[in-house]
Amino acid sequence: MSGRNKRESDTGRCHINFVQLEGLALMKIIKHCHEEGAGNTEVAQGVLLGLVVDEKLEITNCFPFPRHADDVDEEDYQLEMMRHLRKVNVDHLSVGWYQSTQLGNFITTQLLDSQFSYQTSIEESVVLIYDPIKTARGFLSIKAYRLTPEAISTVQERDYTPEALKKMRLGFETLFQEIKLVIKNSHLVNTLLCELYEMMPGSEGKQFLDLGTMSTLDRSLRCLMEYVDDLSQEANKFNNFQRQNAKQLQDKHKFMQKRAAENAQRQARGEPPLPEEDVSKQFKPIAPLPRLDAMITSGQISNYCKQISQFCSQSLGKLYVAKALQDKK
Amino acid sequence: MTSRFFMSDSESDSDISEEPINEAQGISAVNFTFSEDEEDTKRIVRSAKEKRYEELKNIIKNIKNFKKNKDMANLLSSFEDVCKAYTKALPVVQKEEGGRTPRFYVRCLAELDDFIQHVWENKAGRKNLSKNNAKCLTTLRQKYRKYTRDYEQDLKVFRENPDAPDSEGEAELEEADDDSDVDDNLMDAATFKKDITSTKVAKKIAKSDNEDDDDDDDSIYWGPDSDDESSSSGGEGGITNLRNKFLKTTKDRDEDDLKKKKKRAPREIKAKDEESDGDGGWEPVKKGSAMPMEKPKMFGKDDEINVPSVHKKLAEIMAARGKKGTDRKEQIELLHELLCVARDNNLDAAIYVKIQFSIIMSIYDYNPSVSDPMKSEFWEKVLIKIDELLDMLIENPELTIGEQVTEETESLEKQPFLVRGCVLTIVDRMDEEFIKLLKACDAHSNDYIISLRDEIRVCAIIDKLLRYEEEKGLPSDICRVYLRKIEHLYYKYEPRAARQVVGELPETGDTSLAEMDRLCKYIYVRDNTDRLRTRAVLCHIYHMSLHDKWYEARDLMLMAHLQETIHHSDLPTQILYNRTMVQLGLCAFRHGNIKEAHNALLDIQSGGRAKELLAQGLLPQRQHERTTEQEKQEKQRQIPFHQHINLEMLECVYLVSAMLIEIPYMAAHEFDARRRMISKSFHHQLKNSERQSLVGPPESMREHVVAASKAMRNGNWRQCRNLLLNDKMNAKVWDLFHEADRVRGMLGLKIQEESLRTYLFTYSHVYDSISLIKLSDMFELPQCTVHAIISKMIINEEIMASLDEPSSCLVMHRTEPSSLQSLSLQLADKLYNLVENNERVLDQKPFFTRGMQGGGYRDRRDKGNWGDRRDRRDQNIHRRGDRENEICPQHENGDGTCLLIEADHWALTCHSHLDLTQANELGIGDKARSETDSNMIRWHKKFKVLRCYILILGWLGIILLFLSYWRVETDPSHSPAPLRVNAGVGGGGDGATQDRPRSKKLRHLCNPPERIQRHQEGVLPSQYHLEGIIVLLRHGDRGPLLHVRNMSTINCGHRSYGTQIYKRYVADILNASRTSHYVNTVGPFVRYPLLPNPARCGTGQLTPQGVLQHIQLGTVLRQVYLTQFNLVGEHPQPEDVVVYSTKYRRTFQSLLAFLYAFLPDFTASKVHVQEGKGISFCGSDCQCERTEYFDQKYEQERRDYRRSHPGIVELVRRLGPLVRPSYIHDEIVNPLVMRDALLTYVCHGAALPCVDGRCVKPEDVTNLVSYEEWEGRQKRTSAQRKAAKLRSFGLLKSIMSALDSMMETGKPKMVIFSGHDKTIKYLLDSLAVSNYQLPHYASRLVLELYRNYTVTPSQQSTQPYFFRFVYNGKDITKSVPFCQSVTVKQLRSGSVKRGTISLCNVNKLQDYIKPEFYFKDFGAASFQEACRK
Repeated sequence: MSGRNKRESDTGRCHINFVQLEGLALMKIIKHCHEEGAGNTEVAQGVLLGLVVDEKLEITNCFPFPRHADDVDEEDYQLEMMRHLRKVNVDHLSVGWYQSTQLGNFITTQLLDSQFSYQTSIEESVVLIYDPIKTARGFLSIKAYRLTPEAISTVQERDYTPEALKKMRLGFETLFQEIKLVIKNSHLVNTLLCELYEMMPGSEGKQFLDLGTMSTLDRSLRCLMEYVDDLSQEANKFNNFQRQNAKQLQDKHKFMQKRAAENAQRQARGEPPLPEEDVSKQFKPIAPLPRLDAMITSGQISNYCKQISQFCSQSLGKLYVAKALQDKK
Repeated sequence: MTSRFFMSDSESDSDISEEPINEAQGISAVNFTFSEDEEDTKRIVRSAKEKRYEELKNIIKNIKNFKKNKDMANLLSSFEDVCKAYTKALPVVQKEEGGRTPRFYVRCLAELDDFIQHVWENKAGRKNLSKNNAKCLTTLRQKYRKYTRDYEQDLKVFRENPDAPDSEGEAELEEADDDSDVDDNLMDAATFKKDITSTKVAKKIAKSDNEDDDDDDDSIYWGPDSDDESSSSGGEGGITNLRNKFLKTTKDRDEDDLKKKKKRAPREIKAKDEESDGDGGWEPVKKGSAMPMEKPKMFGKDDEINVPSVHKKLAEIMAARGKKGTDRKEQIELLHELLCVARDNNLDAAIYVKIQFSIIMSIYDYNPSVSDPMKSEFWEKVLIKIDELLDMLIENPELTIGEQVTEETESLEKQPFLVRGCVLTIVDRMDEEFIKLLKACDAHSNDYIISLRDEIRVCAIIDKLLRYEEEKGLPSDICRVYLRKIEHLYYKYEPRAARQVVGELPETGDTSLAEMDRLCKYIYVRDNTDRLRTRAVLCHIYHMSLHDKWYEARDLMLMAHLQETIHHSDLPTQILYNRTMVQLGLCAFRHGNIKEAHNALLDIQSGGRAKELLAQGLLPQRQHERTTEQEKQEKQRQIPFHQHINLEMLECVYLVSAMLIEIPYMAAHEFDARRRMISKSFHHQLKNSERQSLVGPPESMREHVVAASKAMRNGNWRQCRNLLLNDKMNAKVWDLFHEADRVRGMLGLKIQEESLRTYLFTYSHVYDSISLIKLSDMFELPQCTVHAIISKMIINEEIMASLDEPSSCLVMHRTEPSSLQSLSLQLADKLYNLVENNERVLDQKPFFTRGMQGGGYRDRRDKGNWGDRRDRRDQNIHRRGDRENEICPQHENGDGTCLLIEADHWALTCHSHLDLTQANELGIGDKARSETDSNMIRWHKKFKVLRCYILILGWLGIILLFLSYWRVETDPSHSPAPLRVNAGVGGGGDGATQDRPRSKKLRHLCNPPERIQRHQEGVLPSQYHLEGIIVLLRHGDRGPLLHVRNMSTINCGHRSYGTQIYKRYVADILNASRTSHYVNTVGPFVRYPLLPNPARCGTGQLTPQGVLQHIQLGTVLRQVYLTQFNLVGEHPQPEDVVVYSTKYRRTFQSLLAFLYAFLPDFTASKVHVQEGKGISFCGSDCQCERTEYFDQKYEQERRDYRRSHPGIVELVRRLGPLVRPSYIHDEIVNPLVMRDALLTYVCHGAALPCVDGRCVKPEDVTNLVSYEEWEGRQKRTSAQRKAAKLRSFGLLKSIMSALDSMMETGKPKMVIFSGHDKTIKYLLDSLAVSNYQLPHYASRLVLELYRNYTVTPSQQSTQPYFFRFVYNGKDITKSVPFCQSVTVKQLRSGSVKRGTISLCNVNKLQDYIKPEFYFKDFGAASFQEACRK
């Protein structure tokens, strides 16, 4: 029932092409993440509320998870919160969750697991990743992600062996899919913004030409290095596994040959041949290594790389602009 | 009867009771059997009595005491004790006293009775007793009453006469004590000194208490040599009489004596039997200590004392040697006596020597435990004895002594004297004992010094022996003595020698250095055991280092190449090696060669086990306890204290060297992510001090060094120097050097220099420029030194700066990477690691064995500069790119390799992408601060790494184009080198030189592929049918077995590599190897590389030429056996073809090439390659020690051949240094080895080596070859044949079983063995084929099995099966002696030349390898037996 139907529903009913984010919800996310998620290692998380309209997921509201909620049950909290929101006639359907990140290090096993549980219980769920640090520097950074159907089925089976991954054609780049995100404001808000823009003094809003980029790059590189190390350790592990496997194969082969020769002899002597099944007993296949960690690490690295190259190209542009400005002077 | 001699101290009870049994055994060890029981028990009784009585008396004494104190509780317990003790003693009492209770015991009982009565009656007193005591008293009284009921009779008797002395019991006891003393003395004094004995006896008669006897004994015992005093039978009477008189005084003795006499009777009879003269005048004397009286009677009065009789006697005495119960001490005495007898009778020197020998040996034997040292008096004795022995030997030059003299050839009576024995061994043993003696003393006590004084005597003896051996000995013996001498010499520092080194004394001076040099050089030349030479080299180096001959010592160390082989030598030598390295390191330090010092000491110091490694003490082990056995062994290995090397000094020197290297290094590489540690233990010390919360002023040596390091880090050289060079450190370390001031000066200078470097590394980034004058002021170094140091740093690119000469300033360039830059460098490194790891995943596939590309990039890994890294990366990309594209589709169902590859691919592309952008950023980001418009290109130049990434992208593109060819064969750098033709040699097979007979020989040896043609293979008469073949192959052309000069320049792939056949083979075999089928086929060889190195000659590695030879050979044999005779069908089944190969790359690779050409469809064939044991496929018959013996014998014979051709020996000796790059004297003596080395040049068309204008001439090569042929033509000797027979028995057996199975089942059709020249040679030798040429490369020996269909089994009893041997195309069946081959004239017409062929019946071979027959000349009937004999 479940697997097939779900896939059908995945492809059919619940095909989300883009996410439409209300300005209000965004502001709330930003507020929450800056209050809680910036500056320290912990992440701020919350629930997104909204509706699915055709191929569009509208996110109209959100509320944060309490941060130190030892005594509060999260589920209860959510349910109660939604009940309250319903009472004041706000959208109360959960359509996913959001999370703050630092320097884009969000691809983790936890994220995978929680998004998986969201997506299996609520089809249309997305996760919004918001980067407060980048936003503080003048670049709003918010992205929507969903797990791909292949990833869903793999996680469902909890089978991360190389063969399984190969069969599913699942690689680090097909783990998550990014969904287009559109911010939509009501016309009233737009009008307000226009008015505000006119009121803004001219000197503001030029810090995007800030050239001090060293520290960001520095930090990104350090993070990248960490992950590269991890990945190379994984590769090492896999290497060992392969070696063991090869050795066993060879042993097995030797044993089989010996056994065959023995059996031939026995046949010649008219004795019954030795049973073959103890071979499998003697050479228990070595459990293949799960490749999930490696995949996630690779995903993370690719994410970093994208970020860095993006950042660099932006900085490069800025440098040219700065150069032109200097020439003028 | 306890012998004080045996019992050193504190004799416990059990010892006493055991001792007599030992004695008894001592007697019984004599060959005769007699009733021992009687004597045994008798003896036990005596001592048991003593023991029990003593026990009783002690308790009684206690009782008396308690009675006085009225201590009832203790009295009670004592009473119980005494009762118990008495019960124990009862059996003894019964025997001794005839059932009467001993009087002293009865007295005790009586007294106790009185006491109890007394106390009991005194009621008032009883009241006063404590409660406990009162209770005890009651109990005691009751117990006493109960107990004494049995003794009432005795008590009554006693009470009648209470005052009489405690009768016989006690008296006897005392006597017994005395007796034992007497025995002692007699035994001790067994040096047959009448006077002493008699005085003692006199003493005994007087029953005086001879306490001072012991002293007497000790002083006299080994006293003024006992040998001078004769103990001829003349003086015997007196002693006997006296003795008898004495013996009669006690009943005990009498009995004893009687018994002995009884026993003696049969012995005497026996003795008479032995002695043909029959008067029984003398008796065998070894009858143990029980009858010391008889000992002196060595020879009867009338006996003729001559050499044989003495010799016989000696043999008799020595026969008991080592037996369990032999009284070792007495043996010594007997031998002494024998010596005196011999001397008295003026016998020949030979017999003296022989006896002297035996004496020394028995003194050695005296010490039962190997690990304990000798007793000092024995040590003294042995020194004297050895000295005498050597004197004797020197005085009698006509006398020969040696181990080579056997028992039979010994000649003691007439000249020239030959005596069996080895003086060397004795002296060696003496030396060992000496060291043991030293080790037994506490190293810090006076004893040690006293013992050490003996070294002079030991050395004197060794010198004496040395003189003797130099005159008479064999070289090998002389070597041994020399080494002995060297080992006493090498660790001693001689000031004169040191002065000689400095030049204050003339070079020719007679110092220990010169002596050392002389001795060692002799050993280098003459020694043929590796061990002596190794030790000599080490000692030599040690001695030279000790005297600051640094360069000589270092060169010798480097030349000896000991580093590689030392792990295989025995432990003491390894210890010596460690000591030498340490000394070398110290020497290097004294000379200011800090790096060398550090390297030499690193191994010893790194584990923190210096003490153990130098054998200067045991370290407690943490994980597991040593067993006592291990501990004993380790203790034995320890070096005596006076040879120790000061460990603290060692550590200090090491740490200081490490500091001088490490601190500047650390400063230079501060930003490196993963800087390696030069010295772990130094870092450990640093870390330790950093961990401390409060660092106080330094106290210990280590703290000083650490504090100095810290000062140096800050460039504070003055503090650093003061911390290292102060009074405390002087006392601890520096004063220990003999040139302490010079060393201190050197150290101070080094500190200044290294501090300067550290300072520059650390602080250069805050300067724009520094004045050299300022620097030289700061570091108090002359300006030119500062200039030199800085220039060096600039040249080595350690700092980016330049010197401005006019202003004498150092101008910084500020080009050290910023933190971001160094970060990206680190990232690049990490990515490189990742790629490497991914590569390894691919390497798991059999196709990608690492060695295939000829060494690969790993070799260059250590070099850190970027340019290098670039090609490395290029190479990686190169390999990775094509692998990815080739492998991925093939391993579709593989194990995720593709996935990883993708990741890997991604990592690289992303990486390069990233770096492009990022570096843009970096370059400009930096500049933007000052001037944004500054050239964006400049970073390009500075940042070499970037270029490499751009190159990577380029490469990726290029590689995609060249995917189809993964190998680099199109690469021009690998194109075959032009063939150089040597005029005389003929380039190993050029057509132009064929006409010369000699070059023809060489051509034959190199065996170029085109020479391999069909000759007499597969020629058979019509009525015969080919049933199967067995092929024995030698591998193809290979590199030399030894490293030869210019080896890297010889192009081993010179011609073959470019040929079409080879290219096709490479492509095919590589394709085949990717299939699982290949794994199936090659089985155990799956890890072996498929192809030889394309160009380089590896030692013992196959060359492409060899591959071609085998392809050709395979093609030839295929034509004959598969095409013409169709032996197996189109698709050979696995059971049709059986293939073996030895476990060498070259044989496997040859086999692969052979099979490739031989089998119809190699890639689809189901052949399994199996592994052969050893080099001769010995199967189950491999273990045989005997072969070595024969090998040696054969080697000896060959040496003799060589000796008869002095020219060839001279030639080899002359060529040696030309051919070997680092030639140690007489390294190559075997012309065969030389030939093999030279063939490398000849067969690969390389120029023959030249050194300093002296060249190997082509004639030399041909001469060697001719000699080899001549040697091959010599008669096969039995040793050679026997060795070969033992070696090839396994192979013959497997051949025979293959033949059997061919005859019975028709399968397998073919058996192929891929082996070596030796394999073929052994087989031919064991078949006794006479006069064949040595197997050249790609030799083949084919055994063809035929069936004669005209003969039916019923017709003839013999089998219808015949075989023939074809060796390199030549029928050699006729030369096999056992064959009685049938010559068949009838020939099938064919392209082959007509002629007669010979066949041999299979029966003959069957008979031949029956063990009974095969091992006939060994006198054995089976392999095992033959091996044992």
